[in-house]
Amino acid sequence: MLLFNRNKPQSHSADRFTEIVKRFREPIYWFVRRQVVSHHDADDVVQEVFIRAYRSMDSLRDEKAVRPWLYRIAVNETARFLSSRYHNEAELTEDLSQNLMQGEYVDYDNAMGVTFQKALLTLSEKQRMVFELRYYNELPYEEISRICDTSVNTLKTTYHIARQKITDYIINHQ
Amino acid sequence: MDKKEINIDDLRQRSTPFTVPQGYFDRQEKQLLEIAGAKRRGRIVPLLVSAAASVAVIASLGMFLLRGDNSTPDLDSYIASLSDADLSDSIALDDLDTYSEFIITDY
Repeated sequence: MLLFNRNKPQSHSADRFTEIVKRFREPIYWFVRRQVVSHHDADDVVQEVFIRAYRSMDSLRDEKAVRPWLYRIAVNETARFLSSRYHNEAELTEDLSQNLMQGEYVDYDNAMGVTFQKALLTLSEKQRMVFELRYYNELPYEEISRICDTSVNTLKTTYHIARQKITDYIINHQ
Repeated sequence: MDKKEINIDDLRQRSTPFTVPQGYFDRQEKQLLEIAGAKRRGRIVPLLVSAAASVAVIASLGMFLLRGDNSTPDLDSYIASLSDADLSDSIALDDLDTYSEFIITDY
């Protein structure tokens, strides 16, 4: 009759989780926010990221693997959210653009910022994620490769194309 | 404008126009840390319930085993042994105010 949870995490997991939250909550939020644009959507996705992180913490053995492990969860949860919300890329781009131009918590006095984010929305979902991880988070390609399950060479090409598209967009829209 | 004049690395600081509600990150931290706290509380409650239930089962078993010679005699057998005169003096079950009146202690 006694019910024992055989999968109960170790007692120190809560402390470990606290450390992960304090260290990564802001970078993970901004990573997700730039993908989904809406603050409320980003808040929801970030909650899911850390819930999943807490549940799978036992699988994390190497402290050095925390960052790629957490970003991988963030990439997956963001992709899951976007695929559940939008049926195709065109619908996604249109809605995100609308959120960018009419949404809450956007500083429209930062004209360059608005233009830059519009440029980001011209990228494919995959290009955007790679660009985010490299440009904003400055992760090494080897780490991004572990997060995205993509070869380093492909990532370098993807990033280069993304940079060029953004540069062209900004030049043409200034 | 010449493409070579734009280096997007120089734009990093002002490339994000997004803001957050005031105090958001402090509230967010509390909410996220609650995940670990809620998961811990979620485990404690069913454990306490299980422990209480186990104690109740063990206590009941213990009471049953300890009754021995002091157990209440079989009521049907006792009633069968009563004479008509005795039965006419008995109180009907429906008239009993409490269950304790039903327990035979005088024998």
